[in-house]
Amino acid sequence: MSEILLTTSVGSFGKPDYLQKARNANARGKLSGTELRDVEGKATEEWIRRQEAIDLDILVDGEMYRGDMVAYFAELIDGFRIGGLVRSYGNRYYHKPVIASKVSRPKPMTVDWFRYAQALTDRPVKGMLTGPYTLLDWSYNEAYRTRRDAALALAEVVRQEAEDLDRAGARFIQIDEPAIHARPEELDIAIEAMGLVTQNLGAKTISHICYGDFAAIYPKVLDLPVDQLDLAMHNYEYRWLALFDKDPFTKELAIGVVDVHSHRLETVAEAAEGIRRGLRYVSAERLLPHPDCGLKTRTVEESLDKCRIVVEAAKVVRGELAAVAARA
Amino acid sequence: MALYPYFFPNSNLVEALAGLPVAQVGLDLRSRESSARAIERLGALRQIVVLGVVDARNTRLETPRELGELVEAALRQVPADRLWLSPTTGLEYLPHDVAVKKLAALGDAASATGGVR
Repeated sequence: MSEILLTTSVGSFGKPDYLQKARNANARGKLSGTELRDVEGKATEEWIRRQEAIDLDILVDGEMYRGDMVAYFAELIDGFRIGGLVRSYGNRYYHKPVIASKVSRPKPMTVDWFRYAQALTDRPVKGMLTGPYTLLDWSYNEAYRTRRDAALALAEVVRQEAEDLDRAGARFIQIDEPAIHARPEELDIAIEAMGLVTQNLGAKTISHICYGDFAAIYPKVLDLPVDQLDLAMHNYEYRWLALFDKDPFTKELAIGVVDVHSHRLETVAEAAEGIRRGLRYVSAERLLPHPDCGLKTRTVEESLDKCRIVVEAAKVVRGELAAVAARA
Repeated sequence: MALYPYFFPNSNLVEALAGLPVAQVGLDLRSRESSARAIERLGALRQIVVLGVVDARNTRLETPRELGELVEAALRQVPADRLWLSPTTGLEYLPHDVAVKKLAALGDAASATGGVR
């Protein structure tokens, strides 16, 4: 594993066709849960091998077992029910979860998947969770009087899961909060809730934030109690970096250098330039190149190509830094 | 012309909205916890006030009592002939069955306060 510009990804990867078919068969009652888990395990192992083959440094399990990042947890947390269909955009509808009563965690939700994925490789695999504020914001709340009350109750559930991942040996635990800029006036709630989650963790903590007005929450978001912020940057043409001129960035930065919402494959030169931009604000030891966001909307081949560009770009810039060091 | 500033905290906007040359002003009293404070300042408005009293972004159904209290408070600031009731925004953010129940609750609240003519 390199010591600078460690490469990683945000969490999800494209699902292979055979897994999509298995999920559909399971939904129609034609494939058992046990059989589906076997298929998910096979797809997870394939993604671990692919990440090793292209030489990513910090791996993910690829979330082959998830539909989306909130519904997956809502189905496993007591107190939620899965609500009726709601339009997300265009003609796309989804079942939005409802916090119907007080929430609690009957059993671990991701620990077995983490153990399974980590046992397949010597490279570190990140534990992957959705943060309490995003679980709240992407659900309806019928059970708690205030949104803060709901966020703190969800934080207790996420804390238990994060501490189980910590005990299971996760060296990195990522607690995603993409909804954090939905209501900037509630940033304090998100920070308070995250503090409950991370307070006892030995693992390095990360939070992924994407697709919103980052300027509306910066620099206050630096108070989010995690070691690393993981930000979509390429899609925004790196505009958020300019914020760091006035208020220096104080955490590790995982920087998105390829756009996950475009079929177009960036060049290595483009991604390398993104890394160089990040290096103006964060040292190479604290800068981690990756794709802007999860790759689940891309095909397996596109996911792989995007990650390969990230890895190659990091090698180019590491070479440049080594050359500068050698001349010094 | 009607102006409905959806979603954002509006309790500080009431006076600014009062000066705008529009026939109706819509206010979301639900989706932010601070938004209900706007009700105390509705008297500043001279337009028709369209009060978003059922939350179109949450499935929890408002009770007749809480809707009644909101409408009574609004009526202390705005005469009934300038007060309309509505959901806080469009109903596309709710499942269909809940959206229908929200509209029914709205109608019940208006009837209960004698506002439907």
